[in-house]
Amino acid sequence: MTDPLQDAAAMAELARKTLLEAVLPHIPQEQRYQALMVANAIGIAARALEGGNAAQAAEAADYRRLLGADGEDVAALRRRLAEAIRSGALDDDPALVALLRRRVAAALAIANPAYATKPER
Amino acid sequence: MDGARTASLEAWLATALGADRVAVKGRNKLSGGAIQENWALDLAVEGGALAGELRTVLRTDAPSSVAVSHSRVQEFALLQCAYARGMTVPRPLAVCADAGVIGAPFFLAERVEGTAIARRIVRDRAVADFGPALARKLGEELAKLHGVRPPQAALAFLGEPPGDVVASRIATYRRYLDEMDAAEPVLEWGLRWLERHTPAPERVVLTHLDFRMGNIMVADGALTAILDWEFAGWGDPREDLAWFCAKCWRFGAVERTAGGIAQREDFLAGYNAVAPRAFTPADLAFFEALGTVRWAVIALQQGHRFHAGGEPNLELPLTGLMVPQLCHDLLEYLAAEGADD
Repeated sequence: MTDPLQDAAAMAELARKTLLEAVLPHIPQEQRYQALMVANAIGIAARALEGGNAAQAAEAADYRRLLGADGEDVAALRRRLAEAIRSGALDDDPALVALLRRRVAAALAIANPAYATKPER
Repeated sequence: MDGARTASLEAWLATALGADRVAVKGRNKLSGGAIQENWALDLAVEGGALAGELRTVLRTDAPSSVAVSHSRVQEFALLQCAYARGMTVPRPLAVCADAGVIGAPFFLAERVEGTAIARRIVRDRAVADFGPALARKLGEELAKLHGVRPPQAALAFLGEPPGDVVASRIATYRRYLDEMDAAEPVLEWGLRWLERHTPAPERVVLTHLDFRMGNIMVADGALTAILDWEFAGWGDPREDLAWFCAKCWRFGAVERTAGGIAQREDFLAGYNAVAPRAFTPADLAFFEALGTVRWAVIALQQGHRFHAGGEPNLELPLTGLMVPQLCHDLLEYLAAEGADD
């Protein structure tokens, strides 16, 4: 049996392309915006399937390094970092801004890869 | 609105408009507004000062309305205040607090021509021609609004003006993040930086708090109405100016720094010509960053309605997924302010 996850991302990406190239031209103007939203959602899901786990692992490793923590999942680490920032404990930490830039770049790579070069909402 | 409600509305309108008789000749539900329902109503008014054909909009709460914005009765009071200041807003006609008439409180205002669809205006090929004058006009309008200072008896529902506007905004955004359990280090860092670098306060004035393309009605490149007063309140004048200019409200036309239609300088020239207090683009930078945090928190809330509330509306998770680009903008703003140095 094939692993259903094996081609999930590629299949979702193909579904998005098919929707945009073959289906969209036949969709009435009133539903066009919705169809574009659907295509966008499929694209994000495809990229999350492809790279989401690795991005999260890298994010967690980044937090552990900065916080000097080990263990804990990414959500717990993220919460811990947010609290530390709010308390002022990291006000003058030069490594923090670099980490935040990596976090934004990784999130954009999934949510909106074109944004950093071509700002468009 | 069924037949019985229409009859009850017509009877109520006759009294409210001081007419002998009012008949609803046409009605059409307008698109947009998850919080409010807007109906275009064409009225035939017999007798009284408004006798004749009257083109109106009836604004009422949608069944799924949320509690954070003002009620229709309060929004009407704000509209009246803006109208009295000579602002370009739909003329307020009548307000009904009684839910018994059509099922929910509502108000009626004159219907204004034009489009408020920001993308359509921003991408209009003629925007290079009409944009600067429109931005200047919008600046003048905001200056009129910012001439309203507390206290105002008719606006008592707005509560006490915040003692420290920025500190109060930061506290609110943090509370929203905590309520969602949405720990976002980038937004936390932004809030912390803004907290540590808050500029000196300005006098508190009446602010619209959602003054941006999308809430601006335009016909033939000219302003016809400033809409959506439901978030207005006491605030810092720079909040309104910066919200209009922030990168996240330029609808893709990022090089046109005033709402995607013109430059900040055009917008501020209009404002400074009327307002007692003049501002420069540099005065807005802090507040554009603060506004970016605000929009990111709202976007997170929309995503949260899908994530935690399971609301089956695709727009919600997609709005939540705009947070990375807002975080990107925020880091750019703060870097320009020297936050990385």
